[in-house]
Amino acid sequence: MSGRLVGPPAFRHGLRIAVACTCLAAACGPDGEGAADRGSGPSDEAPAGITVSDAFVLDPLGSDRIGLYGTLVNHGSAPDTLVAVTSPAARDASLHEMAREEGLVRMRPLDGIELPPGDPVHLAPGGLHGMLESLVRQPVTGDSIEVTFELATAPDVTLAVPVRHPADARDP
Amino acid sequence: MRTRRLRSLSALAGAWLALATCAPTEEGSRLAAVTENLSAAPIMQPHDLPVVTLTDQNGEPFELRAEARGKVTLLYFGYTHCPDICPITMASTARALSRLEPEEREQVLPVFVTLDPARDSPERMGEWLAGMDSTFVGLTGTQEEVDDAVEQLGYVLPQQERPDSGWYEVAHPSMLFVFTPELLGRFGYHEGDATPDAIAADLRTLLDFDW
Repeated sequence: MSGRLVGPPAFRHGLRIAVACTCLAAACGPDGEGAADRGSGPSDEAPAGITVSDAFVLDPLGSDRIGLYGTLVNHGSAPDTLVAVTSPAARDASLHEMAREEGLVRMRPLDGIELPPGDPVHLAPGGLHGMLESLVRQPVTGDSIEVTFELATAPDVTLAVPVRHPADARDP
Repeated sequence: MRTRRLRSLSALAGAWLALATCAPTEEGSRLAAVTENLSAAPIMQPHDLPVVTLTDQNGEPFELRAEARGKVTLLYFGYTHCPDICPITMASTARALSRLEPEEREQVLPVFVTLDPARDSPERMGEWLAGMDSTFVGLTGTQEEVDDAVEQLGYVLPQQERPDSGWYEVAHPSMLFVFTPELLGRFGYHEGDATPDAIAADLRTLLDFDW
C-alpha cells in the first residue's frame, strides 16, 4: 500500500518569486497592470493593515479556474480575516484548504482565512489558496491580472499579479 | 519411485533456493544503485499496475497494462477541476518529457486518470490535457471503474457526496507514480518533488536500466 509506505507528503511551500511585490493596501490601488512591479518603495513609516507579497496565479492552460497564491502579513495588533478574493477576470471565486489523510489529498472550502498579527500566512499550491472560477478570459503565462484580497477589518488589497506556468509554480 | 520424486523435488527446491538467495541480491544491489540516483521515492513493496480498461480522451477503450508493458509509465490520479496539484504535476511532467530525445520519449507513457468522471468526459479530458501535452493519455470511465483503479494501489477512498450541481470534494492520491516496464510501481513523487528537472533526470536513469 503506497499510502502507508510513503506517507502523506510534507508539502514544500515553494513561494520563491524573484521579484517581490509587497504592496500596501494604501499604496496599491486598483490601477491594473504594473501595480505588482511598483512595490511599496522606501518608507519611514511602519506598514499598517494587511500586505500581500509574492502573489501569483497559475496559467489555466484551458481550464476554467485557477489558483491564487501569495503571502499575507497582518501588520495590525488585532487578528483579521481574509474573507474573499475577487478578480474582474473571474465570475466567481472561493477560498480553500487542502487536507491530507492516508496518502490522499482533498480540497475543502473555507469561509475565511485567519490572519494573526505579525505571522505571515502563506497561500501556496497544495495548501491554503484562493481559487478564481468561471474565468471570463484565459490569461496566459507572462500576463498579469488584477485581484482583490478582501479583509474583514483592514482595507482591501488590490494588485496586479503575474500569471505563472504551472510547471514553474514550485521552481520558478 | 516415490523416493526419486522426492529427490528431484528436493533438487528443484535447492535450485530455487539458490536462485532465491542469489538473484534478488544481485537484482537488489542493481536496483539500489538506480534508486540512489533518483529523486523519486522508492516504494518498498512495489504494487502491480492496476488491471483496468478505461476510456481515453478519444473515446477509445484503453487497456492500461497492455499499453504500458515495456514502457516507463507515469500515472497520476486527479481531476480537471483541481486548482493546482493536478495541473502542476501534469505540466511539470510535460516539461520533463519535452526535454527527452524522441526515442526516449517513445518509451514513456504518461497517464492521467480522473477520479471525477461525472464532470470529466473524454472531451473535457482531451481539452484539459491539450494545455499540457496533447500526447498524454487521459482516462475516464464510470465512478466505480476509476475508483477501482486507485483502490488496486491500496488506497481507501472516502465516501463522497457528488451532487449534480455545485461544489463537491474529490479526494485523490497526492503521489505521481512511476511504473517500470514490467508493470511494477516501484517509485513515486511526493507533491513537491515532481519538478521538471527531477522527472527528466529520473526518466533517463530509468530508461537506461535493464528491467
